[in-house]
Amino acid sequence: MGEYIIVHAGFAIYALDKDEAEGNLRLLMETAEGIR
Amino acid sequence: MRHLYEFRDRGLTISLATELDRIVDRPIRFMEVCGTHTMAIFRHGLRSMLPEDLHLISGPGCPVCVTPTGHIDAFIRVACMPGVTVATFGDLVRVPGTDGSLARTGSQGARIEVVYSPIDALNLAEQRPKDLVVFPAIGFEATIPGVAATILEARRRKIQNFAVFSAHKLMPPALEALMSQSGLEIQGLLCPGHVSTIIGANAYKSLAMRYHLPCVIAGFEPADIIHALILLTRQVRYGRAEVENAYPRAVGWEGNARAQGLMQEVFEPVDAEWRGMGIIPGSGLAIQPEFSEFDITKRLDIEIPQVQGPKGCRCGEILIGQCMPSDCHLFATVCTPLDPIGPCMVSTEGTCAAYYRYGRSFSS
Repeated sequence: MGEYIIVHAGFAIYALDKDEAEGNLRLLMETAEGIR
Repeated sequence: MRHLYEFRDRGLTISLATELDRIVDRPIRFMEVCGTHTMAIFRHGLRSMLPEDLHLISGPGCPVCVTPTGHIDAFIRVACMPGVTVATFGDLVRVPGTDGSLARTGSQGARIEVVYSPIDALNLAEQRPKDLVVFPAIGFEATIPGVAATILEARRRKIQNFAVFSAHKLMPPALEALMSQSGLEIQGLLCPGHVSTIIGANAYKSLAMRYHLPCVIAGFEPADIIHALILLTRQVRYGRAEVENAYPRAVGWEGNARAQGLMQEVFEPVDAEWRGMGIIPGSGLAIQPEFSEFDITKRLDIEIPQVQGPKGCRCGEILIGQCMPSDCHLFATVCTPLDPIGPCMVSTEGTCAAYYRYGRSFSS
């Protein structure tokens, strides 16, 4: 319970990695901020 | 929802699109391999945000679309057999075969049930012990482990009136075949998210090296997709050809080892026919002999005919990036979502369906 999962055709195929998600978002923001 | 809505943020997406516009300094063509990416790009209105010189073409990543007409005909033949119920994903039901579809066969009395998961098909078999429930198994690596798990579950629960018609396809051999064809001028691949969850980012390394082809794995939210296009464009600008993972929250370099194990336990690679691409060595999966009681082609001695697709339909060329939907004379005239001629107009991941719904003005 409390995990984010990716469901495909009725099966959970991956439990989302929260640390990677945070890092992923930071990278996107840095890329975007480069032009602000 | 955290870890979802942040990647849909409008301001972030616009800023990323501005950066993309800044760095695209020449005509570039990328292929989005996955049908879900095709739909997401349209649904989020990303095409209107792309630089004029950046062209996206769709690839062979829609499982319904790449399933050839001969397989559709074989599914229909099985559905017509007495005592058989075909339990299938909904978008397969309306795909035209040589003479009708599963939907039409159902309207003529065959038992066709729409399910959302292979495990639903297995449960249906348990509920209807007098029927033989057959699941036409289409899909790539994201779908295959679930079907493998279902076959193992069928054995565990001793359900004998359940069988699978495997028409599964593997993505790496198809991409290899696609890139080895001459004339496909693309500078990079936007690689599929869910398939990569299973096979891992390493699966594209040989492709990147052999064809000097930038490969970037992308998620399905607007910021994910634009970010992946930025990474691809940077590689083109600096002459690099690497695999980059722009979806690390869901994709690792090695993939999902447990899911890969399930696939290998139940299936074995075979040559397979793809619509538009012909037979590609090692690109399909058959059920291992050890599980042959769940293999409908062995159980009922089914042969898959080699037949031509619908006359005038250019789905095969669209699937390999050789033409756009609007180049097909049938598109939006006699072939529409209500009355589809080719599978790309049927599937929710189909290129023609996406162009019909969101962008009929785009052409080659």
